[in-house]
Amino acid sequence: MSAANHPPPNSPNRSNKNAESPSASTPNVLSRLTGRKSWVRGLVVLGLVAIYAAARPAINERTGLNLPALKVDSSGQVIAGKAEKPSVAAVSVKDATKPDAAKTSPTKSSQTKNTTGDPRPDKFSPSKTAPSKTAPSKTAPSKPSPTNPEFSKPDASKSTVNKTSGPLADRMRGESGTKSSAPSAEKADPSLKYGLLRDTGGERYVSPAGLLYTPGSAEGHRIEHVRRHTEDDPGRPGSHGVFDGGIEGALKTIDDAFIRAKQGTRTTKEEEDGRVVYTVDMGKRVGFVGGRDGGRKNKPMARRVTLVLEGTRVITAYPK
Amino acid sequence: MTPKHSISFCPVCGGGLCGVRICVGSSHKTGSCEEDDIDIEAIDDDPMSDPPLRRGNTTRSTKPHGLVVCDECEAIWLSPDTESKHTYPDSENARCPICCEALWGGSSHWASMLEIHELGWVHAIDPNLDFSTDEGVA
Repeated sequence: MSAANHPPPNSPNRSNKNAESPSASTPNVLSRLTGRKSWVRGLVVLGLVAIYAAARPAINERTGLNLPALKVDSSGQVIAGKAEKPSVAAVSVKDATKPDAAKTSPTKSSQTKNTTGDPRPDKFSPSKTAPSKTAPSKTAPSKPSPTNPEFSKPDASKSTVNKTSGPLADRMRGESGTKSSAPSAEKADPSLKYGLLRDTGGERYVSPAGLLYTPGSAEGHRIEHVRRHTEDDPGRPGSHGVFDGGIEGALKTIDDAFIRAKQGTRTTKEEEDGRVVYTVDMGKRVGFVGGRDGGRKNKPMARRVTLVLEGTRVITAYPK
Repeated sequence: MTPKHSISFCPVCGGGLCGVRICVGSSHKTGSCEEDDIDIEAIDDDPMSDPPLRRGNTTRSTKPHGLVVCDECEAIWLSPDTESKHTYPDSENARCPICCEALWGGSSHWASMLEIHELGWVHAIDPNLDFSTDEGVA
């Protein structure tokens, strides 16, 4: 080793001498190293994107989440594509040219996933804050309530909340896509019970899908029986399905389930003595499983709905 | 309205509890409780049925009697065996198929363990499905 190859002993960054050497060949080595690093980082990013893209459908299928697809825009940025709702803003999650950003993005993504996957109603389900106090049929239905937007938001195109947040945030509020699909005209009609049911007299109500809610059951009315399934019953043996969105959300989800059942979409049907039991896979979270069993399992989300009907008359309905 | 004691989960709807319900007897007849609603075969096949239940179509029970009722879909069994034949009450005017009293009225309630013991149905109870422990025979 010659002295020419060594900087003076008091030279700063002595250990980095090779990387900062002013010799003629060093810039080439440096540029190669830097290029190689960028190339490797790019590969890592691409690998992560590929893994996410491959795993996304399976995750959505298994968990009922609606993770956004990734797309590459014109500038080369990988962005989270729009999910099912058109109002969802695309969010840039990775930049292939910025490895640091690429490292942090997956972490954020998984945190969001975990949060939304948490089915505990005490955090996100509006069923506790819900019920009738914000029923759009009784108050001013056309004015969204800032404290409880899910019951007054009917139309997704009118909801500022939907425009400024993503699909996962919507789920955290317990909003399902089924709610926003309701015609806004119906919810604006003050004559509709819970913004949905048409009173046909004699305490009988008809839903938009044609389901009939009549007096009956231990609670005195089928609506009240369904209301049992808008709150957890932690002491109940076995499981107790709880709908998201309070009674309004429950009624809407039941209607959607009935529509899917009639179409035969992901539905099992058992018929006997004029009673039909449908079990409908809604393809997304509609509530959670409470009761003793649900409590033991940390209240897992429910994505299926059981409908027990007599003709079009609702006997009971609950998520499972 | 969760049953105090149940024998199983409902084999019909899958989510309900098949709880034991006790009806205080009544000889009162109403037109809504038709003879055809009563599954006489199931009653006759049940060795633990009370004598009044065996009398067929002409006499209603006049003493407390038990039913197994799903608290979700309201399927009714006349014996503590959910594999036996079940029936459904009128959905808007549910009545006990034995005494014709209102199924959810004041003459009917979820049975306590003591009442279940008196019915002789203790063997059918699944203690894991007890909603609450109450006084009486374990």
